[in-house]
Amino acid sequence: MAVLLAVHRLTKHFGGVMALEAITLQIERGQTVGLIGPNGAGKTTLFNCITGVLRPDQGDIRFSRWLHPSGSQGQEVLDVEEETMLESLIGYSPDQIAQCGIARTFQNIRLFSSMSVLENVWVGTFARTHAGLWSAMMDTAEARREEQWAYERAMNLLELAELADYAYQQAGSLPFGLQKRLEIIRALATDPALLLLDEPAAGLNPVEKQTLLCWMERLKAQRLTILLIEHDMQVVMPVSDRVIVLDYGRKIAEGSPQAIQSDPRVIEAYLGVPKPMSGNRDCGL
Amino acid sequence: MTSLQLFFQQLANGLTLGAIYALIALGYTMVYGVIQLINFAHGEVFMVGAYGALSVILLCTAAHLPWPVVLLAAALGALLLCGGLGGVIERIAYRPIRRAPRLNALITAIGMSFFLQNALMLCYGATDRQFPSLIPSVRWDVGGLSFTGMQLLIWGSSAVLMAFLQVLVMSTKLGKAMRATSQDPVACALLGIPVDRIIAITFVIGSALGAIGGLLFGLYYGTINFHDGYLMGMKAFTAAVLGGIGNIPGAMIGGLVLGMLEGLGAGYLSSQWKNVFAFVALVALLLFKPTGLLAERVAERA
Repeated sequence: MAVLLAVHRLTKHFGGVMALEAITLQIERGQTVGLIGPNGAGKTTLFNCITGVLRPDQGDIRFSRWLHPSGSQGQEVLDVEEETMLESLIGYSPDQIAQCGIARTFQNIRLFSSMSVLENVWVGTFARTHAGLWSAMMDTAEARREEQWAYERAMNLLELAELADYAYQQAGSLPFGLQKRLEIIRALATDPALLLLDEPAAGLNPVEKQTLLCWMERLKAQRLTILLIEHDMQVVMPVSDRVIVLDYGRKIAEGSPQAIQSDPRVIEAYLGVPKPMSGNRDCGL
Repeated sequence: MTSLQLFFQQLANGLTLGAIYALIALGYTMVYGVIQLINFAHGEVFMVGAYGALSVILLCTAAHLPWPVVLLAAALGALLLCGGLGGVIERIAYRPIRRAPRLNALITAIGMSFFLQNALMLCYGATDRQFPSLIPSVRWDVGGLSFTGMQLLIWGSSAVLMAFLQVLVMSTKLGKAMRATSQDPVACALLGIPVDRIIAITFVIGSALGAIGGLLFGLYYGTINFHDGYLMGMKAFTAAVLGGIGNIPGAMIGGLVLGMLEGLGAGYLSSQWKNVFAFVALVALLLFKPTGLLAERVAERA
């Protein structure tokens, strides 16, 4: 399978705290990978490094953007020599990385809350429109066509997410669950190859969680690649093809959901094993 | 003149000044909107606009061009000069310290303000400069009130510019990107929007509006001095705060309200006291509605 994202010996520390220590992982195209670990394990730091918000101290992040943005045609042909197709993302700015096809959501919602629901998604499409910001001002035919395209794309996405009825409401006025959903839609509007979800189920009620699961199955069916941070095992385990466990900035386990659930190292990281020198860890289960 | 006529006449005069305040206030409020910086150099950028326009006017009148051409050339010259200057200031002075504590940026802005003020003094001298009276002095009397061509020009041009800005911000791609940036630059960058460029464009547009304000100011008062930018900048800043800083319609309304207050203050009390009137209004408003007239959102970023 073609590797979409390869993280190699990624290291990041904040002062004396090792947030990430030589993390190596790979994600193949079309896979959904769960990323779990106790609070403070470095999961969000990893997201921040991948998206260019933080600059890692050491290591490399390589991403394959050869299919982007036109979709899945030609995938088989290009499977050869996939390694050489990976490009390093180190040193790129967050907006350039987003342009390459990586989108994310946030642990605490970061919508443009005083803009409308539609505008939020619309802003997401800007990554895929080409008219410069100045020429868009000049109202050329090309720019107008693109605006129309962006509007329709945003509306389609909203309809898909059953948010079309709220299109002209302020994003900040939506109920929490819908805001979370809108954030995913906004990320999808950038037409990503890789979607990073940071705790999409946190704070959702059981019904909303079921909807989210359905959704993620649908995205998987469209061969979207997903890296998912989530504490809720009832969400992570069914959708993930593979699960990676971080603890104290290190990768302590990786494998199928079944294997991970019975891995003694994981159980120890989550539940803590009474040891003379360490207290119990915060339990994420 | 009846007392009602006096009232409306002063209101009209105030609105003229208020329109200029509003144009300058937009620059403060737009920049504050995207990077939460009070750009104290903006008053000086406005003054650069006035002097730039003066230079163009002197050049053009020497070439005996008709006045509408001269006026357009001056507007265009000031617009380009200040737009460029705004972009350069952002690039060399503010961008390198964007991640530094906010106080650093504020002090840089004050430094930039001194720098520009003194540069203007060196280039154009410390004495008042005469601004040629370009606009034919026509005057209409309507219902006991009199309006000059100058006033109409100021109202008309600022109304057009503000309408243009409103359309730009509310319904273009650039405007949506600007609003998104002002709410959450990080989330914006992660959606693939070049935030640095949006911020630079915001400076360019704000400065260009200030430039037109400078031209109108010069034409209206007839003389300019290098330190006029300081007081005008303060007033425009007051207007932006009155309307709710960061809020574009707020800056427009704040400018007009401030101008009217000053006009009425000058008419009924004494024109010596008009500055006092303006700043007392600011203090009073801040006591009772600290977010300004229109503020819907205080920066709630962590």
